[in-house]
Amino acid sequence: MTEVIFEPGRQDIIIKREFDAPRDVVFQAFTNPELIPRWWGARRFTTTVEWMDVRHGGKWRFVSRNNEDGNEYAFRGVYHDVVAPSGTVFTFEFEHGGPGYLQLVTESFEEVDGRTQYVQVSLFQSVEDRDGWIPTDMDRGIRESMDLLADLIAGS
Amino acid sequence: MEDELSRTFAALADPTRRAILARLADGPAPVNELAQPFDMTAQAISKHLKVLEAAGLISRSRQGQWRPCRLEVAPLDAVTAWIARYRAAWQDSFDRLEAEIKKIQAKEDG
Repeated sequence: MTEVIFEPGRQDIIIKREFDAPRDVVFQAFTNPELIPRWWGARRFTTTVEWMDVRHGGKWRFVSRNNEDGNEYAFRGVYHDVVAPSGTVFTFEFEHGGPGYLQLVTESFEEVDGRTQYVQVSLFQSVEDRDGWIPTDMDRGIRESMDLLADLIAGS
Repeated sequence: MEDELSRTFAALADPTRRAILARLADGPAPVNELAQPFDMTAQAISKHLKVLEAAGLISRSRQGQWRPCRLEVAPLDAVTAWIARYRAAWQDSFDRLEAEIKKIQAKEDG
């Protein structure tokens, strides 16, 4: 399933996920602008793609609108490296600013027995910067997790 | 809340402090016992304990000469909750992406 590695004293967050498909298919899906609104970001946001030029030096910019309060948040960056289907390197910038707003993201796709091991490393400016990325609305987060749990139980 | 978590993470970032917490997971201990495994002055250990105490990760009994240190897990629960939430959010996103991948594959096969 999905694994998050967040260790004290490090300036990165590592996310791992296995997909039940060959890596050329998974890579295509990840880098397809038409699919972004269907999976990128939290469910309570509607994301639109302004630019997504997946090639060396290409720019990307997504705008996510909160369905509840209408607030918009924009994210952008530049592709530093794109090697299909094995990986990408790009900058990730939260335009709103704040601690952790600028990251260097390295994605790798490895195929094992027809399945794809996806690894995303987000590198922050410093340990303090990474720790500052933690959102301040912890109570809301815990409540949402409980809602999610309730949904899962109801759905099973 | 953010400051509290940053303090917790900063306190956890040091290997000596993590070793102290690991020892305290086995039960309360006095300062001199905590200092024993480390090649450090009492002053240096005391500094580490102050950081842990400020982060709410340990408490020190105010009674008696022995004054044992005790592990406090509440700040760790907050960190664990945040990581769990972050993981759940990504899992949800990736599940939606995987559903799209399945659709693409079904189209290719059909």
